[in-house]
Amino acid sequence: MKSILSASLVDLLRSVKDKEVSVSEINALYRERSAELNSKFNAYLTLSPEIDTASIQLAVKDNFCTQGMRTTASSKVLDAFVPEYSSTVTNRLNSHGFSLLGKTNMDAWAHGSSTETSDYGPSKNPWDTSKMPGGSSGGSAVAVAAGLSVAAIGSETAGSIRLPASWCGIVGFKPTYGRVSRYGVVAMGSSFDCPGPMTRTVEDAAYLLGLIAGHDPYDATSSEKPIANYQELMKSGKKYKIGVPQEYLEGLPDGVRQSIDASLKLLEKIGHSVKKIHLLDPAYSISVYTILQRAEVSSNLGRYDGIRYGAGRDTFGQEAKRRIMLGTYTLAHGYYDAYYKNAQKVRTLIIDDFARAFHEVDIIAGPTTPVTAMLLGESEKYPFFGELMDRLAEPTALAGLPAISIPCGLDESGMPVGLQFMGPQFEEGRILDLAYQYERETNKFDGIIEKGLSKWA
Amino acid sequence: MTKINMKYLAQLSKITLTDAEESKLAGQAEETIEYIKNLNLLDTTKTLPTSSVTGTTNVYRDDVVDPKRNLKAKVYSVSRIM
Repeated sequence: MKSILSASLVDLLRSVKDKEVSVSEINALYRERSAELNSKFNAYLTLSPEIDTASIQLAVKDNFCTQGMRTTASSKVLDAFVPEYSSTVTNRLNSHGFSLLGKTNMDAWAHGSSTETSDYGPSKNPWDTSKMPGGSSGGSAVAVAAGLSVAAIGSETAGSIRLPASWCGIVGFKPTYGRVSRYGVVAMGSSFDCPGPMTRTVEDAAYLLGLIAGHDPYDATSSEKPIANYQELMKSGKKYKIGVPQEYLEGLPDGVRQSIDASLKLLEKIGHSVKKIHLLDPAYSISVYTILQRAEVSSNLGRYDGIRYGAGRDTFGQEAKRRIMLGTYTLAHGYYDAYYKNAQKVRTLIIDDFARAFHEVDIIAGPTTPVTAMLLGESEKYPFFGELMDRLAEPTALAGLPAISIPCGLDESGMPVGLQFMGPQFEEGRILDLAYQYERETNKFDGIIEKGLSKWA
Repeated sequence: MTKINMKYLAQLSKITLTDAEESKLAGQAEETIEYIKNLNLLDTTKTLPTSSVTGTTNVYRDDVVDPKRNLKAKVYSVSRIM
């Protein structure tokens, strides 16, 4: 087999089964690399002390409750919080024979798209450590990209899986809202939050999605629809009608634009039809998302009063305060109709807009982010940095649609560019199919993921 | 530009702000409020609001105690409540 480091999770499972490699060897490699390289990247907040010889260890974002292991959501409010129970996602990983390698850094409370709002310091982008990895699942993206874990679990409210996956040059999958249980995940925007896999291959994403997806009686918003066999659907090899919203291409820097154009040409070359479509200007989604998410934040963070667990409210960082205040404002008497309720109405318009588009096309494609990774320190200059950076992920998040981000090129400065495929609700298999075709046709994304890994091999 | 009463909001949110934070956050909140006014360009007079995107309604469970979810360890971090 290939080296452990460059093997995918599915490869490793096959090799373990064929007795070419042992679980202990795999875990030892990733544990050693994590212990050695974490000081460079600040990807992990907590590393598991256990040496597991029976199950492969994976990285999990630190907003998933893990019984007996500290869970901070990167906030000092939860600095000493050790949960009494585990999230459904981590329970399901355990029951399928996986255990925890460590808990990864994130924007505090998942409030951000940089991992710079972490109370434990920013994570660093493995492609250029002077740059941010994106967020909020930045630590998970870094762990996968730099080879500190074979795969990771992240979570997305609007862009928090896709954006760091794009900026760190890996695969990030955001499922349909309700496809994966939110039980035991520190809540950010409860009408948006979606756990999902962050991996180095499309097949690993399909495999992990299959393990964590499905109805959960502990999350009343989780869907009762049966889950599909994603690894099988991924290999359908269908030809699709792909729509490219022109509004998503406005103002892109040359490096991003060129990578996206080349990728769309390649999709045409392998038999898909690509056409221009129109969607509502993402500027509306920025506003709807800003209003609704901050309202949900102000409500969700109301429970942190230091009585039952955690420190008091004076421990909140600047970004949490900024969001709580604005959310309180837009929910307040006299402003509720003008802001919160009107945003919910525009959310309906955005959902209808996608429904109309999916009458014309099977899949919508475009850049994941308007720019590639920015320098560390940039995020604090904007009052709603995350909302701006995530503007191409927010529309789908508002409509609860599934989407995948895959590497599609490098810009002039050598930083990865992400291409995203978006599908109708519960059509995870369709976008995995297209992403897998792209991965095969480009011989693993033209080697981008391997190149990222080799920087730290 | 909309003026925001940060002291009142801080009180509602149970957040303590320093004077420097108060003026910084007020400025940023006002900037954000200006931005989100773009929603007024859309006609929503006949549109219904969306609070749940997957259309699930009336999700119930049996009204019985699930012992698997009982927490055994010390659950309060304060020494005493009232």
